[in-house]
Amino acid sequence: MTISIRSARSVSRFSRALFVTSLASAMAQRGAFLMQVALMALNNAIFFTFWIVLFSRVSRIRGYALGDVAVLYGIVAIGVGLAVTVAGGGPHLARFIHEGELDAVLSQPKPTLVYVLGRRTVASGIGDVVSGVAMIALSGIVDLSRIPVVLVAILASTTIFVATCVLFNSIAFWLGRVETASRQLVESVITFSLYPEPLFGGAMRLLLFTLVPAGFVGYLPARMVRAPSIAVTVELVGAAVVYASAAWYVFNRGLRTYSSGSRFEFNG
Amino acid sequence: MIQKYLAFIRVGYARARAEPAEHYARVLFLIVILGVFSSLWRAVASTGANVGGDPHTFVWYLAMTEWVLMSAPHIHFRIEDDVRRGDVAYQIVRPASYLGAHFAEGLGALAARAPVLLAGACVGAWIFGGAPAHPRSVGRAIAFGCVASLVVMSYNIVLGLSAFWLGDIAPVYWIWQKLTFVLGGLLLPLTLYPDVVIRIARVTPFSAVLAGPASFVLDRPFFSGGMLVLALIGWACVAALIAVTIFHSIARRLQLNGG
Repeated sequence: MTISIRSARSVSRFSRALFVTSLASAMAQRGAFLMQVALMALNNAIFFTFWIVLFSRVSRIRGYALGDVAVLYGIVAIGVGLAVTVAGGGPHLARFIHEGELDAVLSQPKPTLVYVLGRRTVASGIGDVVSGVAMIALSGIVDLSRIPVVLVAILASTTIFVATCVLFNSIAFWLGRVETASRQLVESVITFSLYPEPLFGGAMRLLLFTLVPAGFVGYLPARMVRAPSIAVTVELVGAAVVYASAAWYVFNRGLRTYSSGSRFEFNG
Repeated sequence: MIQKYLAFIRVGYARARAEPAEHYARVLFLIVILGVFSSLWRAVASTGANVGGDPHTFVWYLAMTEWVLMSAPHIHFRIEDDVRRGDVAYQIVRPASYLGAHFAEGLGALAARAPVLLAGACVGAWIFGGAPAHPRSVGRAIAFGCVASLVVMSYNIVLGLSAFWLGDIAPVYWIWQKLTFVLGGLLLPLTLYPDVVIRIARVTPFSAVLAGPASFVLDRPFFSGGMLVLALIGWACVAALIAVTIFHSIARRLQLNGG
């Protein structure tokens, strides 16, 4: 028990150091870094005009008003933004696997998945976080007393999104070149999580809460922020644990089938 | 001269066909998106609000805009990869134009993707929107849509070239994509936007490549047929001019730095 706690602390220290190094690397070109942050924030603002135009013609769509969509959009933007900032290797995992880029990290003493996820930071993720915070603040739904709830919702959303990236990209262990298909699947999670939950019913709803977990990345965290309850919190935290465990298991299972790409690489 | 570019077209076609999983994922994504929007339009229509059209026809409109956009190969990410890995250094010394080769490969990929996605778009639109209200207009939208995809692909090359300055082109791509959403009328027909947006859209390539072809299915074309032909040719020339100018400037710098 003592050993596993010590080991968890060690991995946690390693993850922090990895994040700081990746962030410093991303910020090395400061101009490009700031431009990516600003452009991503602008990108989110432009997309949101779709909802502004639509809600200028209707006041509510199946119970969702513009403020509710802003909360949903804000949660997803922060969740995805944090995920690609802290675990930027996730969306590229399929390529790392297919092209043998795991070779360089297999001999490292820390867990391979942690290393692969944290070795890259996507600067634009910070732009997502900035725009997400602005949307939640401007939604008119969240006051200061709900900040702890918002934090839990975001943490769960981030965890589930990272786990989803790992699951979709780990398919490459068995199917080889699936980079584009994996990217499509990951993008579809983001896309579907940005639409109001009541639009989906039946089989589609089942899909969005299982194989393409947009429901856990967007709808459930947003529902928790709009109307906090213990039941939703338990459901969301439980889903985060299940998806994270599944991702860990599938990746490590896939790692057993991994064959080297005979790649030479230097890691500092 | 032509032979080598024909070879690049064949390579692009073969490469696109070699990834059937990608095709299926795209078609599935397209059909599901049509289902989502059909649901959204039905929800909006149930409020009794006037959205300036029939929800079923809007599904066909979306099928056409999504088809045009999704058919265009993501050459920009390939160019970004070339830059990131340094492959561009040996590619520009080949006896074929770097831009020409990418364009030809893209053409091959477009030929492989467009028919599959068109079938998916039509099936999805039929399932969620019923038979098209104006079948002949769908034919016109498809004809113009093929050319529009080519123009979108040309601008993707321009986007890819921004990797020489930015390294990661994703943010520029996202901005471009979202401008396409709004000024191209990807999700909502442009006529639903305020006048100022419509006026801006008319002087950008976005409206010509998306709303232009797709609005035929609404039977209220955003451009007349003749105007759309001119607009598509004009914007293709602009894309080619920008790409060639940028690339020549970059190639000069690369050769200087490389010694």
